[in-house]
Amino acid sequence: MSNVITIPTINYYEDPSENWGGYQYVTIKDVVNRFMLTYVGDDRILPSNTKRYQVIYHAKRALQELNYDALKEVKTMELELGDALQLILPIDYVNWVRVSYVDQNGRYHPIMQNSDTTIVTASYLQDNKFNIIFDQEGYPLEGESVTFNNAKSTDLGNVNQFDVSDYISMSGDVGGPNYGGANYGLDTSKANKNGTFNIDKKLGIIQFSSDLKYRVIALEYLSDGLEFSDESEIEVHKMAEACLINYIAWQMLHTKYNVQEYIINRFRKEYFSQLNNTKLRMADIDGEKIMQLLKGRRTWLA
Amino acid sequence: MINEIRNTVLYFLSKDGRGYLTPLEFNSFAEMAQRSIFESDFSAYNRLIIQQSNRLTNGEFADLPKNLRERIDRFSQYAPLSKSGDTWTYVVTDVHRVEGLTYNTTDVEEVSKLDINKLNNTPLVSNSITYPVYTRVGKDFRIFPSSITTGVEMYYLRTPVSPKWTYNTVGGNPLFNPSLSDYKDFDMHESCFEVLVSKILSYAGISINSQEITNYVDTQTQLEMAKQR
Repeated sequence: MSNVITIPTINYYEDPSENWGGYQYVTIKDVVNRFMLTYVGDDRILPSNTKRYQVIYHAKRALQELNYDALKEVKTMELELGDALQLILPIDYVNWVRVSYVDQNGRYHPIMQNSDTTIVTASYLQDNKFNIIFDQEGYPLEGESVTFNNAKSTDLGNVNQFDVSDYISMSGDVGGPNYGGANYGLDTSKANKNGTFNIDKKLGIIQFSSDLKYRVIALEYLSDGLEFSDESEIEVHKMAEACLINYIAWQMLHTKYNVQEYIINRFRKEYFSQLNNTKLRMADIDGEKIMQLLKGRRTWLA
Repeated sequence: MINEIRNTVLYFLSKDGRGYLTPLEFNSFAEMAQRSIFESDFSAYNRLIIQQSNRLTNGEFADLPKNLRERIDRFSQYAPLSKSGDTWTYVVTDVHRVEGLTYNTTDVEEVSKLDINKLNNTPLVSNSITYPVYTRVGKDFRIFPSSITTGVEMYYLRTPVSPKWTYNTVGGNPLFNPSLSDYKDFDMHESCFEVLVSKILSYAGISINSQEITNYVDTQTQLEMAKQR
């Protein structure tokens, strides 16, 4: 949707092909065109021979940075977990926010990352003398990963059981809090019975424990906002537009020869100031929400 | 304009019996003068833009870059390009300088041959239908992405048409006749009158070996340049 409302409002509400909510966003194409019009020219801060592709580059870099730091536009991918107990990361995946399984009521049950294990990238077969076995062409033969086989059958109920051997000190004393048969000192970072997952960024897969088999998994993740290759489809929220433009200007001046340092600094400061503004705007904090959060506490609010 | 200019030039030359220009000589000097002014307009425009950036020009009638741009703009033309294999070519024959390409309503940006491969191999800035790029190959162009097959136009400055003062000989003297088929007036803005006279006089001064004329034109040129600074 363009920045100017030109369609009859009824069309917007009744036509499902309309880009509902699109007014919140501005495309990178628009940002680049506006930048070229207002910042580049004979009597402007950047000379007429400034290359548009450099502006596009910095615009996209700015969008990436904003997506990591300020926009936090969380996407959710939902897939059912099969026998392989692994899912392929979304094509525009950059980092995960939360992994959950979905119950029959559509509620999310967060799954914990299993930091006690990892995804093995190579598991070589060995002979009875523990030597690696090679094929005729000299490549090592690979087998199934013991780590994964064991980890996928991990029952988190067991993981979270207190294991006294983890707490035996160097002197041989039991230092753990296993007093009187009670389980004190639960490791809360792993206190979760919903299953575990592990992500291999290099392989681009996410593996789950076997208790999640056939569950519907919801992966909430962050992208860098560049999942479309066409600049007319890449969008940024209008609340971040000023920040994006300031970043482009700062970087363009920063990489240009013979620009006075004070000018570069001026744009750098403007960018960081706009970044703070954008973070605040996008943080979605307002008095109503704070009031709601504090309701039920001991303090009475007028 | 051409007859007025010729008359003025001859008036200067004939004073004190300095000399005379034949129609052939005049036409030859006229074309040289026109080309010289046309080329010098670009560097003059550049100087004016610098002045504008330094706030040394003003608006309306004092907007000197705009005035000069108007002078150059009379040579602006658009011409369609057609694709043949990997390259795009034009058929017009009066191209002096290519200013840019457009694809539908989008500017196609020129990228140097040193950068084009790096750009095309960098996904973040790679060419796209939204932002196409081109590079020059001789007289032709290569446009990226290659999926573009039609709708490309070239914006260019054409070469000025050569002036020709045409005449009939009456009583042994050339008499101006603008109705002849090969007649061509100066292809320049009205504001070029004075500078055309000066230029032609300077060539004539060399031709007839008149130091006086040459010195006069040199002085006028210096003054003109000083005014522009």
